[in-house]
Amino acid sequence: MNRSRPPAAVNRRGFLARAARRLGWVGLAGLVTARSRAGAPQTGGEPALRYNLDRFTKTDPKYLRFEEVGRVPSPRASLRRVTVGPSGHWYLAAGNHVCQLHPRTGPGWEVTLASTVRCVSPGPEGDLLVGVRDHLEAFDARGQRRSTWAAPGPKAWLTGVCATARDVFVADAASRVVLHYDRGGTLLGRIGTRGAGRTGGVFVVPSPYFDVHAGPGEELWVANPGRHRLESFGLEGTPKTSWGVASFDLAGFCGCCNPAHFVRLRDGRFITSEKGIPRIKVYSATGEFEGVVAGPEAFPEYLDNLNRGPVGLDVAVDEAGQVLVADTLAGAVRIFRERPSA
Amino acid sequence: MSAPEAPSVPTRRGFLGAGLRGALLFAAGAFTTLMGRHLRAERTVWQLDPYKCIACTNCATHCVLEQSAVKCVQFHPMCGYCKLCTGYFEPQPSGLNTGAENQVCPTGAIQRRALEDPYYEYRIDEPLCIGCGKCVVGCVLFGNGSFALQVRHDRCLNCNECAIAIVCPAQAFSRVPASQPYQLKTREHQA
Ligand code: SF4
Ligand code: SF4
Ligand code: SF4
Repeated sequence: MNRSRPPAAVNRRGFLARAARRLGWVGLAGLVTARSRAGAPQTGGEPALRYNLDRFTKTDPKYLRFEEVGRVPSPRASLRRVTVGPSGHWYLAAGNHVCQLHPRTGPGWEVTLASTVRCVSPGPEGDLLVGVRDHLEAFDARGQRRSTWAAPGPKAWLTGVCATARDVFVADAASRVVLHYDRGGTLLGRIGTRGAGRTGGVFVVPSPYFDVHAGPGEELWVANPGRHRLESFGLEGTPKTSWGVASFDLAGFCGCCNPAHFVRLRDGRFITSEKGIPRIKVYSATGEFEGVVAGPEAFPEYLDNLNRGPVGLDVAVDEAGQVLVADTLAGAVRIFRERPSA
Repeated sequence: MSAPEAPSVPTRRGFLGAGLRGALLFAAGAFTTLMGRHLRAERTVWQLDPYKCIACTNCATHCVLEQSAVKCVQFHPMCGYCKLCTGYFEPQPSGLNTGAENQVCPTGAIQRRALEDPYYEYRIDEPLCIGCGKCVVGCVLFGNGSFALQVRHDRCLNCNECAIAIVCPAQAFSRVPASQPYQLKTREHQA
């Protein structure tokens, strides 16, 4: 911390001047038509001192392509991730638990881990890979633990996992690389290590949001949040394409580091989720902005509480092409369906 | 054998005198005890809990000092060193440069310095900071929350009743031991 000037003396003139200014502040505060929910930041004060996001927190209805059609409460508190398995089962990571449930038949099995579950990926056989902070645990399709993988390093901070028939890709936000394993847990390589002529590494991950998805085809997609992009690689790690721009406008990714999460629809389109200004959007298979799944007005409490910091809304896609959103604060998976006219 | 002394006869003056002596002795004892306690008790100072603060701007406007004793501090271990720092840049800046119109801070109190590409370091020029918390909102809403307000004890007068504590809507102020005068943020809390 820097050293600062000695305190200014308190005198009568200064006191009166301040009192007059404060009366002015009170008047101003009354005039400011700010959000009034309890806990909302900067509900009063001089406008110049307010961090103002108002113009980015309302979605023009013409961009709304999806509508909410249902909510399924999480069986456990602290819902963080949601994903859909090949048999249509949902897997919800909440606190130290992963809960299997089916939207029609209800809750299935549940597994409990020693610490917070940070990422989950079903395999093609209905098996499950679960990531806690520093390692993965493998479960079979009935929820029986099969193996515990070695931690990739003492500081590992796993935030994304994706299993294919042959490979497993794990995003480690601490080392800012994607780890490539075979299905048995043998490390095959690291994607995103500092290459020749490159400084600062490939991935820029300022906060613990770093997501990864494989497929369709021989293609791996990785969120590069500090560069506000999604980037694709061959499964062996060769860079292919990228898209995305930093912008608070709807077409871009807002804030210091977004998207926080993403998933792909069967037709190759991307569903992205941003933190800070909570918004879920849909992009074409080549990265053109198409519309909004759910705007900030669908998640008002995410903008209101400064004590909590940003919360990422994880997204998944079910067999019917509906978008599932893990709404941590509501403690529920919210279901959004594409509007027929869209 | 000497005759025993005749018992003294209690008088009103004697009774009052003894009472007064007793009261004085009691007061002296109580004073000594209180002083002892005071000397044993650690000195306390005002501080605000950054996890309760909602950056309402009162810290900038309600301190008894002409320029508030509350300042923004940067917890470097929590910082992402972002190129697009939302504590430094206004939402939708016209460019990622140090133009005043692009900066969140109304007084230009945040210094930005390029490190290895694409990382930047942010520091607070405390004499310029008025403790408004605008940068804190930008940093906490989008980033890691490494910017936070703190009462700076090289400025604070440690008023008996802190003028900001009275109006703080988040009840973020409390007295803390002078030996641990700051309430720092941690990565563990963020996780
Ligand atoms: S008065 Fe309280 S809530 Fe407002 S800025 Fe100061 S500490 Fe934060
Ligand atoms: S925005 Fe306000 S609190 Fe932040 S550095 Fe500038 S004057 Fe200080
Ligand atoms: S104790 Fe007094 S000087 Fe210190 S922050 Fe509060 S009002 Fe300002």
